[in-house]
Amino acid sequence: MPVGLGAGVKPTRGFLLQLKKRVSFIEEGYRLLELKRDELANELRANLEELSAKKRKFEEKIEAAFKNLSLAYALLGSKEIVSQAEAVEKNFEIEVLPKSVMGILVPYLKIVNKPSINNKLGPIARFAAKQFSDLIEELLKVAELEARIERIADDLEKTNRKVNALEKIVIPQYKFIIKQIEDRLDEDMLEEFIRTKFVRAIIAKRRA
Amino acid sequence: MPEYLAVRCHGLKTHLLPNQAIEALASSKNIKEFADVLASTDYGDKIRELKEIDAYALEEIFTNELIKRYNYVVNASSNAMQDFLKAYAKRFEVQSLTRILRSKAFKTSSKDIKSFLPLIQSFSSLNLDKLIEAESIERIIEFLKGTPYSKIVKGLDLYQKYNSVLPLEIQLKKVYYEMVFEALEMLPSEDQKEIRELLGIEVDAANCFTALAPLLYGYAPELTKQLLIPFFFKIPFSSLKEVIESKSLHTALTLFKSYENFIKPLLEKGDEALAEINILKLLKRKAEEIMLKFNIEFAYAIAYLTLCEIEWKNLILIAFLTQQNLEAKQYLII
Repeated sequence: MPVGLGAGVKPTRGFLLQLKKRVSFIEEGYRLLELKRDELANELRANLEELSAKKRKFEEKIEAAFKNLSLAYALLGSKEIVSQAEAVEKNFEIEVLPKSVMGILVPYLKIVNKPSINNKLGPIARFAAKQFSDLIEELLKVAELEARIERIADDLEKTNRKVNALEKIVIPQYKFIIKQIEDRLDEDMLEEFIRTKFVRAIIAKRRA
Repeated sequence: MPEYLAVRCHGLKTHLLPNQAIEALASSKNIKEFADVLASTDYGDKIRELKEIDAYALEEIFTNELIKRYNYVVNASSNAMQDFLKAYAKRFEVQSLTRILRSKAFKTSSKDIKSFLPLIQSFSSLNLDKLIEAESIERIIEFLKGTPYSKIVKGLDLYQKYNSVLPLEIQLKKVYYEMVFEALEMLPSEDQKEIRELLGIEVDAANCFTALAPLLYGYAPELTKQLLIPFFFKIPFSSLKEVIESKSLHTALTLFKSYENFIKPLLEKGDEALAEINILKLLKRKAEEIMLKFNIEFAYAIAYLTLCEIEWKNLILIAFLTQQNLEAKQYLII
């Protein structure tokens, strides 16, 4: 048996053809995974840029909102603010739905119910409340984007690992086996050729 | 004897913090420094008793001191003046009722409701505990039958239609101003004129804010018209109605010209805080003017109470803004 060939590996021409077909199929898969990896990397980069811009804007807005809330506390007093907040229904409700991006399931947040502040608050409390109410929507968008990035990054890591495994281990291993089988078959062919030549030489000698 | 009350108020006025002191307090680097500076004032004793200093604890002290000052003035007065002061101090009762109603709208626990009521027992003839325990707004309205606040039933339909306590709050304010203006009639005419002007600024400001709600916040005009307090000083009802209906910036600026300082930051910058502060400044100036012109009349006492409220607002403002490391100076009512 040939040295270096694993169990189940038959150094036959049929097996070699089968193996070559398998390698070309794996290489095709490798190319597709590479494309997916690049696409995911692009998507991730774009999402990260979007997240960074959104976070910057969000931080600015949250700073302004907190300043206005502090101002509302300062102008109306803490008890009045708490009391005005009591006049708003606490019915905030969101639904987390799955959404597919390149086959990856990412969460999509849908606001089902949002407390209405319209027609309910005095001007100063209303201004602070409106800002926070808008901020919650933006916060949800940022959270949604963060979750999406996390999922894409996870999938990118998995895809990358697959691509690397195919590139560095699976395909080279297969190619090595193919090489070994080819070598073995060449050796067998040469052996067969020499043997034939040798037999011919003997027959020719006998005839002579 | 208005002279006696005015003389007492002259003495009490010396306890109010002057503008320079308020400015110095606003320069405090932190809440601890703010409390340290206040330690040498009327608030000092209570502040020294605090284990932990924060804006909430200080707010409690400032509110108690304000109530104490109100109590003192009410008790130092007599006859029609005392009746008026009692009616005037009902603003705390109205505030409490408003807070109870808000809490009942979405079923806050009784214990929580008590935590944000001002300490107004001395100015209230109502059984607030019974109201706090009531299971619904409708039940509170029932309990209020036979009291001056029974009229709030007029706001019930709008409350149900818009699921908003605002119409009921406004009904309470209407009742409050009715009581105050009725008590005002019993005072000497000169006092009446000056006090009416102070109250007029308050009501006009509330009505202007309300009238601008459809334009600024998209409130329903039909509801907004019902939220106006039917006492008008510089801004007549027709102007308020026109602003509500037109929802126009230009109309508001033209018709509310008498309160330009208040209206401009609101309409041009959307700065409600600055608008509110400008109104309080106007009230302060009016109170100081009354104090100069009528220094032995009853109006002096009302002007003193206005200044007490403004000091209270200034101190709360500085406490909360200093706690949040925000600049307080630009918002001072001085």
